[in-house]
Amino acid sequence: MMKKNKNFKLRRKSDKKVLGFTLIELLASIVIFGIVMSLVLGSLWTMVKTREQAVRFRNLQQELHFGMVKIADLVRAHGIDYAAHEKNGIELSSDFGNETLFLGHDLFGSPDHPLKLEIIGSEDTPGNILVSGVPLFSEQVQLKTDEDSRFRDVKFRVIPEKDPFRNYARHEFQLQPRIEIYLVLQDRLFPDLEIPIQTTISSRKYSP
Amino acid sequence: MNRRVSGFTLFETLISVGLLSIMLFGSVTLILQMVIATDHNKNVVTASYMLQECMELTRNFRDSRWKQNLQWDCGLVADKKFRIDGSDISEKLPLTTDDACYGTSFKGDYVYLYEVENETDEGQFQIFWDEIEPYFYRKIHFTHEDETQDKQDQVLAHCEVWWYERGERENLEMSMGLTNWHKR
Repeated sequence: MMKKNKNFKLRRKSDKKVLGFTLIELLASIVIFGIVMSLVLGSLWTMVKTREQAVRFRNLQQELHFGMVKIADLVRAHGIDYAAHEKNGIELSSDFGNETLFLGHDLFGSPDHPLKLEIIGSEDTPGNILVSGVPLFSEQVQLKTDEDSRFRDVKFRVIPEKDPFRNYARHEFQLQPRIEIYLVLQDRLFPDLEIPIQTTISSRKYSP
Repeated sequence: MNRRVSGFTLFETLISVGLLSIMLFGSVTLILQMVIATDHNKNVVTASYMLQECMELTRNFRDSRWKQNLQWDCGLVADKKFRIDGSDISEKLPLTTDDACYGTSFKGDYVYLYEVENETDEGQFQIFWDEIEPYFYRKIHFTHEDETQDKQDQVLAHCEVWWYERGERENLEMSMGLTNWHKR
């Protein structure tokens, strides 16, 4: 009986020896814990996002590299397919509309799946050809590793404008063919994540 | 005064605040490092393509002159620093070199080698393109092999691309041997 009374006494607030938390203390600690956790979770979340961005950046880089290697192989080994774009009525230095430039036919051993760049431009800016939202490689050729990136901007210019091997008389076309490319590959999930590149590929084909 | 009042001492508080700040600092540093690494990698990719372009333009420069029956190493002058540009930019900039190869003998679209006399003027090497940060700079120079030996048909092209990242200069370099592969 005595013991019980003592226990009861312990719980009284006026007694300074009482151990335990008051409601205020509990609330305060919960609030502090919440603040700390939100900070920690927030930074964890940012870390996860950053990591994801790094992974996606690597994907973009691989995709870009793969595509550029293909273009380079094509241009170096086979030159520019002047016949194909002449056949399709594409001017390389003026009157850019919604057109397609065929760089070559035998990339995948089939004329049905040419490598293509869809272009929009104006007469004022010959050689400044914009591509927006158009994947460089169509689905059939399976060059793209995922659907989460796009070419935000593509400018390219083929030089010379006419096939140097078929225009011997015209001195200004007697140039080694090359393609100048400027493009920006952008991630769809993280639009800030983009890789701009500018490069030129010179043909290694020295005879028709 | 009742010494048994529960609560934290200053020491305990300091310890807990310290622990908390170490935790937060660690994760923040990690995030920052990852952001920096991604940013750096992006710039390296961009620069490496510019470096590749530098070599391709040089090759094209040689091949086009060869095609028009000019001397194969025409314009690849030793011991001078150049900025190299493709045709797009060449329309906007004046020609500054008086090399014989740029005269009326050469027709058509140019790959330009601009001689930069004052190397400390970094802006002279800047690559012009829109909206892209950071700015990239590109320099090319040539060295000719010892002409007394059997090496007069070789020119070495050295290209450097550099840029600034948080105030630090970063760069990539590449060298390529160009030969008079198609003697005639």
